[in-house]
Amino acid sequence: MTPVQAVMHAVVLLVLGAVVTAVVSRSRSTCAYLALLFVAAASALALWGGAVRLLSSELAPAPATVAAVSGIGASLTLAVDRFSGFFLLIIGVIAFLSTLYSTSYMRIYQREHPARFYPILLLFFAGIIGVVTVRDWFFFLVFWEFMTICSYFLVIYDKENPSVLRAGFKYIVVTHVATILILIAAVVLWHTAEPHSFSFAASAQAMGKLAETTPIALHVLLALWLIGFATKAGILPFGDWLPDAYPAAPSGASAAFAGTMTNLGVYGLLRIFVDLLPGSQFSTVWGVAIALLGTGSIFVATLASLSQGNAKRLISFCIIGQMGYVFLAIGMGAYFMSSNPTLALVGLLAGLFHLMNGVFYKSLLFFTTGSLRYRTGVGDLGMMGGLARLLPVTALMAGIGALSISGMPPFNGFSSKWLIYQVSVIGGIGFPLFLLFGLTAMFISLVTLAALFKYLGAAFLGQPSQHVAHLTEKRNDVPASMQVPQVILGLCCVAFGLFPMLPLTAVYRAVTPLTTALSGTTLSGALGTSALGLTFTADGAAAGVWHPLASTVALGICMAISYGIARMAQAPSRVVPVWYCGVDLPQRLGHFHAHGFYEPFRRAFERVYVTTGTPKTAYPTTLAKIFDVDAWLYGPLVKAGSRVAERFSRSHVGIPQWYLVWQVVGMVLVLAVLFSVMR
Amino acid sequence: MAQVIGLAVLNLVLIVGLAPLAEGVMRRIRAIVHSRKGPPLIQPYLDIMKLLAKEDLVPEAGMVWQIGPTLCLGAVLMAALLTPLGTPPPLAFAGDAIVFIYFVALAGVAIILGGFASGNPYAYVGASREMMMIFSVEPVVAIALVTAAVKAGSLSFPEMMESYAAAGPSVSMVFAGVAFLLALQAQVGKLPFDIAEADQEIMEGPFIERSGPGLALFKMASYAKMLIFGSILVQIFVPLPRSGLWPVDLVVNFALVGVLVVVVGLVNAVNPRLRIDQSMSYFSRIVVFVAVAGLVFASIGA
Repeated sequence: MTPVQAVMHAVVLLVLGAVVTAVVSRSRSTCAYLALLFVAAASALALWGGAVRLLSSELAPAPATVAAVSGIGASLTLAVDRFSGFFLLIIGVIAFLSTLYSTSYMRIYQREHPARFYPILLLFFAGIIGVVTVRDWFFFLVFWEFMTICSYFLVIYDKENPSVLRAGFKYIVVTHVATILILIAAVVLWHTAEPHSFSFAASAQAMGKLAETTPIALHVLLALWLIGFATKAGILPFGDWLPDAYPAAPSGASAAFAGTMTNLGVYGLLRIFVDLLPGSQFSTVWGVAIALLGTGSIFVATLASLSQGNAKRLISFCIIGQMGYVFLAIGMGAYFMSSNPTLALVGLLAGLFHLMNGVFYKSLLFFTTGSLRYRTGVGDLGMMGGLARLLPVTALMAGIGALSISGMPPFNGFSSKWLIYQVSVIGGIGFPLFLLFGLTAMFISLVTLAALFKYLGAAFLGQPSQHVAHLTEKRNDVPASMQVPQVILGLCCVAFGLFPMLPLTAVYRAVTPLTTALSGTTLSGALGTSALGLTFTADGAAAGVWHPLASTVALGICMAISYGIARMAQAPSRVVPVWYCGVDLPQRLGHFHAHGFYEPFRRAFERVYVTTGTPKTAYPTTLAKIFDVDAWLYGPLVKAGSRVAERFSRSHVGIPQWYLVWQVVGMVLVLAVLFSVMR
Repeated sequence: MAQVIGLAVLNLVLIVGLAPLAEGVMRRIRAIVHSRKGPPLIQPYLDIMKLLAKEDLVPEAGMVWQIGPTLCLGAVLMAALLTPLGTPPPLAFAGDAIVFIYFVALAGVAIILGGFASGNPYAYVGASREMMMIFSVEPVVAIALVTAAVKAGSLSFPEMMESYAAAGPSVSMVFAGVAFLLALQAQVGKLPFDIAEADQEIMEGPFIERSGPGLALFKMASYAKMLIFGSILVQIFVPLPRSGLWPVDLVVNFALVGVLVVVVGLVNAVNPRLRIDQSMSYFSRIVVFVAVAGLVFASIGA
């Protein structure tokens, strides 16, 4: 079975699974377990296909054409190159874990029907697998649209909640604008290609042609693509849908979105700017633009996350920030593609490595927020507190996720951010703007830390609020099917932090075949020959070192020394109540509300991200007047009629003599008319 | 390997052993400014020994609370292993300037999480302030070190030292050094920047529930930071002639760090505490006018 066949089987299995789960959806648990079964099989196939391709030496596999729409030059052509294989690995892992998590988590939605979740989730995964394997813009957009629609239905799963429906509406409008931009770009390239074709190969040629004849047109096309893919990736200002849509979806689906769908924005970006676009002044210019967008998102979104009171919303903003790091690294990589292959390689490696790390900790953090909601029923940080006693394992995993996302050594986020800083500092010597970007990224990693501390401090540590105080008395962690995904992702965060060379080798194999600009570089030439440590080498000189294993062992020894010092005098220890300066305070008054965190700092930066409500589409007032028939037709008619009727009613005074007078007058009038007519 | 272990032991012994002495000097300076006699120079050693033997009161039996002091001192000692003290840094093969910055931040993480874990609202206030101090100060440190890295073309400390010694003084490095010096006071948590601890208002903030050995470890970590950051300032931002004999370089380093201790002690003795917003605007001005200026000079090659 070739990787392409594996992928096709996976898609077929998922579609079949969607039908089967829809049929059996009367029973909640049967539906859930069948969905898990189908996703497990499809994930295994995707993982197998991805792994085979990444390990094989074949660089450019022959695409397999399944169907063709010859009239418009579109064909359903599938191919799994190493870059697709890399994404298939990520999709396989996250699809399985998020479905496993959902089997238990979805029990909290007792009022909603499971047929609105599992079949759509399965179709969503099928769409994603299609997006990363197809080699034709027409069908790329078909799968892309399919994935977007499925994700929309997952976002609005909790349909009784009006804010969820609003978020879903915003999501579908914004992402469709982005899809239209990509569609325009694809159609223009289709038109440029001779003969007209939607295939990626034809697009690459068409871009080469445009670069020579009308470079300005190519710039416009690249801008359209950048905006389209940046929107999907959640990059601000285009990704403003993300902090509304992710918290609205069920946590299992949010984790699946964060782990797979947003990353497809980066997939598309690299396909365009590294794979199809030849390394030239275009990649230099657009590299800076991508890096600028990334840095903007890092700065704005992460600062905005500090003021969030809802756990999932806080993490959603941090996710936008992390996607900003990926864009920054890829932008720098693209910038150096035509001038300095080593920096270009390390930039692209850093971006994809950070993306891969992000998959683990982003999904992990969403799982932990889901676990909190599962056990406590609340999502507002101000209503939590002290929950490490209720959910100790979840708390530990949230801690690992928090330290990973904020790039603390020795977790995985640090290894990839370290690479990004190296490229920005060493690359910044020649292009000082990157120094500024790199320093912003360094500063904001501390802000990420602060935001996640708010999450940890308000949810898991400290004194419980009155809403959850009764829960924290005994340990009651989430069921195993929710625990296992959390623990697996947490272990991945630690393992990839300690041994970064292993994932970096995979990323290197995935990214180098994309472009000839990187063909002269080797992984050992850029990051040293050691299998454990990274030695960043730029222009033949060692520019930076990070040896995670040695550092961690040294940190362990230092901590052992510290512990030895602490136990030197064998001091006894005793458990005492918390000391409120001598006042006998009830526990709930000792609860520190989450909204009080970092108040002065937040006030200093509150103008950075201004939340405006969804703009209300103003109805044209003239049109309103025309359609308001009451105002200009019926209203005046009724008024005039009633005025006339009133006049008449005045004549009814109830005195018989007057009526006789009216009759006489009337008779005279009638006779007068008759006479005048007959004469 | 033997050399690495020897240097590592030397660094740890010097930093742990001399740090309380630096604190003693600062207390004596404070006393002199106040026209008091002051405690003996070895008072901090006695304090630590006393604390190590005292009963450890635990308000929350959680893991985060337990690991806090150990992680804090461990991370500071790890930073000490990356610090050049006139001798080359023992773990230069394992980490560069960025790794150094993050291990220092990890010590802050231990303080903050330990504060949260105590469950005391004063600790929350203190931890929240500690985080904001990290926001304000770390950018200055990062920009100063990146300036040095841009001048040297490398982020590793030995390369930076060599390159600066070879190239001689430059405008950008003076700016970077001044910025680092201005941030030093806050890095070591002395007045006017001891806002997170602020013993008169929030009773040592994140350490309010600490007693006995835990408090001793936090105090040792805080004392050690003075020597670590002092040595970084002296080694990276002062163009010292290298004698080639490491004991001489070591003595020169600690003599200059001693001068810094006196300066920090004097500033500590004559200043009132700032509010957190005042300190943030102070550091934002330093970032803009001093640190970024240094970086700009470095990028144009000055």
